[in-house]
Amino acid sequence: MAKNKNTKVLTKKQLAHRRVKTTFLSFERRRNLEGIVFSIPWLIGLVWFLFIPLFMSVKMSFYNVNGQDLWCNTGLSTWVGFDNYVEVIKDPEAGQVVLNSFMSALYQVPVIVAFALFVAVLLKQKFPGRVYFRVIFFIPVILSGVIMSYLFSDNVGNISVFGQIVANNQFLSGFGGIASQIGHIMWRSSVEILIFLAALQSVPDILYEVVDLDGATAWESFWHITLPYVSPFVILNCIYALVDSFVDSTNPVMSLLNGMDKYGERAALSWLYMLMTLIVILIFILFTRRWLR
Amino acid sequence: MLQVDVDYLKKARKHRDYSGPIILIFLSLAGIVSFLPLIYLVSTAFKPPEELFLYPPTFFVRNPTLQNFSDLSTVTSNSLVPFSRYLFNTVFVTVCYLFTLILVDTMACYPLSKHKFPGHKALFKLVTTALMFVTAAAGIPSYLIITKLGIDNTYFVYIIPGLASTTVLFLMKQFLDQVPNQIFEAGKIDGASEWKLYTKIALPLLKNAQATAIILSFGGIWGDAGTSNTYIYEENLRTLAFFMNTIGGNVARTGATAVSSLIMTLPSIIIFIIQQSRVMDTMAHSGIK
Repeated sequence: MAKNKNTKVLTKKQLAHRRVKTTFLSFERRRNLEGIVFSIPWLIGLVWFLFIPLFMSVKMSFYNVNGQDLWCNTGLSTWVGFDNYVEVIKDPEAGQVVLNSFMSALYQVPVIVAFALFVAVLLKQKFPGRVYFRVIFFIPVILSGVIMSYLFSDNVGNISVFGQIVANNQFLSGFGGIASQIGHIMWRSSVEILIFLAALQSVPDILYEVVDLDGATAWESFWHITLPYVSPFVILNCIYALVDSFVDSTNPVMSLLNGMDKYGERAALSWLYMLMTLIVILIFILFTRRWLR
Repeated sequence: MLQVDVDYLKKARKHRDYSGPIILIFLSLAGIVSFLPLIYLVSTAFKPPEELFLYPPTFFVRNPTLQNFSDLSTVTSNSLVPFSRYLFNTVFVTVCYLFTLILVDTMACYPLSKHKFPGHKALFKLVTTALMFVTAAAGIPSYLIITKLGIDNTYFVYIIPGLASTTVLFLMKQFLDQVPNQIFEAGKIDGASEWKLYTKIALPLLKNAQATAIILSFGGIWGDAGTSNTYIYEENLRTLAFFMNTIGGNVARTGATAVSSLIMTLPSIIIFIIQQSRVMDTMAHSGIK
């Protein structure tokens, strides 16, 4: 009887063993396959509508592209090497626009990040109506992009809204440009405010209680507790604001690119521009790496 | 006995009390400034013609009229295609796009976060760097691809090219990362298939992230006039945003343009107000746009 039972168990085990051996897909392989299958629709979209166009534009930047090549399916024919790049670098107008956009990013990014940190610290305090203020500062994010361009475009007037508001005030008329800049900065800092708000949630409240008992002022506790805690997020926000200001659709470089007729040069300029952006960001990361930990 | 300097404590108390009102005042001022463009748009929509062309322009409307609204309705009644057709196109395209976007991107984020297939790390790095690409470089090539696929001049051209959104995927992944793996393991032990795990566990848990993604993407598709302009050749497949844009560019219609901008902006704000609490939650958790 006992022997009988034993053989039965053995055969079951063997069966199980054999089944594993004979299936082509092991458990691990099947899992991997399932994972890939789930993300296939998204991957196809990414490759088809982002990577292939980007690859084609790299190719275009080395060719002399004319309308016939593009629309008549003849393919790119005239290889010109780095001529497009040389042409773009020589072009004084393009250089000026790119330089201007870098300069404006240079002064806008610190202002945006500082303002965002300030507002986030304030919004973290407990006071009546806190939720409503958070919503107010978040509204630019939803209205961003297309909707925001309605507000700042030529639709309702020639100069931007903020310039117009102060134009009829005699005291402030000289500051029209500055006011418009301030408005833009506030509209662009909302994502950074949100990132800082999320970061501030991670600072343990007990630290503030401790220094409060020790008699520290709000100013001191900001510099000695808040700032060290959120410093990785300051750097993250700087990078985010940099990228945002470089690829923003209101950036003059974008309108320059969209207005270029020579497609080869257009592709060359956008890749040069992206390369410069990456270099700036890499330099920034290199210099700030020690604060990241 | 513990000695407490009562006077000092009182002074400290008093000193701290000022911060509340100061914070409120500053935040209200800053909040008002970020609201100004909206307020200006609303007030422009109600301005009579003589105020519209005043220089320097006034911020608030003095003699509000509804003339701009009636102007807009005359313009729309004279359009080539009935106004309702534009509206239908926009609503149809927006609903289809948002539904597919959520489906495709949640499906992609599920394995990236919970399924770790080989190469998932490289893929995710690619996604984060893809946020940095200058899309203007890809303008002409994507036009070529879309025309080659033959989806131009159909509704698909509004929906398909935007589906693989890196921003939405990033948001979803950050959110799903915070859901403990044990929930999925428990489901697996109970014999749930991957599809069931995705539909019964991942999707319901991502509800807030979905609301956020909808709000963030809504403005883009609702106000998208460029696609109609570039890829659609038949008037009755074009969207409301395109039609509203054609109204502008004419000095006599400045008021009507302001009204149309207002009409295009309102749905985003209404959707945001409805979903606001969910979104704030997601934002605080994932910490990303």
